[in-house]
Amino acid sequence: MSMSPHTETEPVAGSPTENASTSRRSFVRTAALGAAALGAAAATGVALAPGASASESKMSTSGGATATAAEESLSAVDTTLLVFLHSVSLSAQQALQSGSNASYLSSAIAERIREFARHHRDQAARLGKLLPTAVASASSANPTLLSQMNSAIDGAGSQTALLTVLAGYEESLSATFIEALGQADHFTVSEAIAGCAPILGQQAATFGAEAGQPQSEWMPAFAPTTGVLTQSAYPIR
Amino acid sequence: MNEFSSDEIRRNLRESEAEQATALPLFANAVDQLLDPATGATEAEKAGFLGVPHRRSFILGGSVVAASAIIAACSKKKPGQIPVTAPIPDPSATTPTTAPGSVANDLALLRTAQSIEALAVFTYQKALDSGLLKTAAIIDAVKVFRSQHREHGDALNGPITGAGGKIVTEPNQYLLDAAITKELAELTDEKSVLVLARDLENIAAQTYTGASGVLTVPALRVAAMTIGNVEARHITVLNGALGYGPAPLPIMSTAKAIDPKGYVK
Repeated sequence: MSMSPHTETEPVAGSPTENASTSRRSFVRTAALGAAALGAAAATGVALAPGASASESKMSTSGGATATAAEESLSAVDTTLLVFLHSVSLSAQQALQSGSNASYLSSAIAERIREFARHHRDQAARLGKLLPTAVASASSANPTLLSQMNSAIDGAGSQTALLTVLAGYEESLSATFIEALGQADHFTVSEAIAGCAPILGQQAATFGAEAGQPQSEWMPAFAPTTGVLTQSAYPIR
Repeated sequence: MNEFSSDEIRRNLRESEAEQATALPLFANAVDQLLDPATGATEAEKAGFLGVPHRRSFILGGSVVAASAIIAACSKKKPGQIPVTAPIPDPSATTPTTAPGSVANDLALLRTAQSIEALAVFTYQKALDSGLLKTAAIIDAVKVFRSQHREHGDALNGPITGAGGKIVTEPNQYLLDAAITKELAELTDEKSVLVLARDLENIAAQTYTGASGVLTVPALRVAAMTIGNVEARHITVLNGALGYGPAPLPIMSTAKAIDPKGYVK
């Protein structure tokens, strides 16, 4: 497989893939902010613990009841965040499932895309488990993202072009989940998000490598945190 | 699949290493500036600048590389390959039932992570020195991984010293004893090196995954995952080299994260 950049397609609209140096700058900025905050906390003896909010007292000692307990204590921020991530995961599942039917795909690549579609479905299920049942049931694929992904997938005329499109979206989803870790209130929410984020990076790397992108794009030293899907640009219906 | 170009890979490696060399001073400068007492910033101002919640949310208490070719190769299933999609791990099985975060724990996690990065650099160097690696693409991949782990370790200097902690330069002794020393001595061929590397990367990725769920500082959770996410990509490459699917599971487990007994406090 060539390591040369492919130029058959335009970058994915709304989900730019950044280069390695940009991701390092992002890490530097993020880690520096975290260091300063932790330093301040250490100096004052005051913990910064949005993940350990007052609601923690409701946590059950029964593992099986943990999700229920978290559900009862979800903040509005966590609920909105989970619904958003749930919706984008469902969009990715549906778009990949649809894309896997492209006639020009090899059977191995088509199966790989279907496999990753199932991962998105399973991640949505993991996130949905933390939501109140009624909220999870009402949540559906993010309409803006799904429309955009379907359009980009339909516009790809070759296997390489489609893989490039998918790599860009997986990278955006990876960045979105990474950034979401900084927004979660309760640690059960950040744990669930943390379980998904590495897999999204793996899927971005897989598609990027399969598409023949430069190694520095799909194997940066630090995972990109730009190209994040925002709730304002991708509103929940 | 297209032809693989070693020249392009090596050029990519050189460019990547050059970028890494320029990034570290930026990191150090940024941390220095933020933590410099001469700025006169109060803790509240820092918190405000950081966007850190400082009212309700504060609580008292301690709180390559040829890997593309490798991945491509894994499109062909091999005998004994693990299932393409495994069941979702039961979240209730790994979810702590009490809030685990604290400042002291944050610092221990950061220092432990740095010790794991040192361990990875040590292990990959041993692997390269062993002479067991024969495939050029795999040698190149291992060199990139070693370089990235070194960069990850260096990047943790700021958060650790910023929190008043001491930098860790030695490989994690607990893991060295439990998972590396004996295994290194028993390496027999290239595949055995890849297996050990994958085990090590799983420990690293799962440790970062666990940390990203419990670190009390939101920005540190994000920063930790920008590293953990890359460790997971290392696993993807190694999976491919070993004939497994590149991302066989939908959720990253934390079952192989370092045991708290191995924390560097």
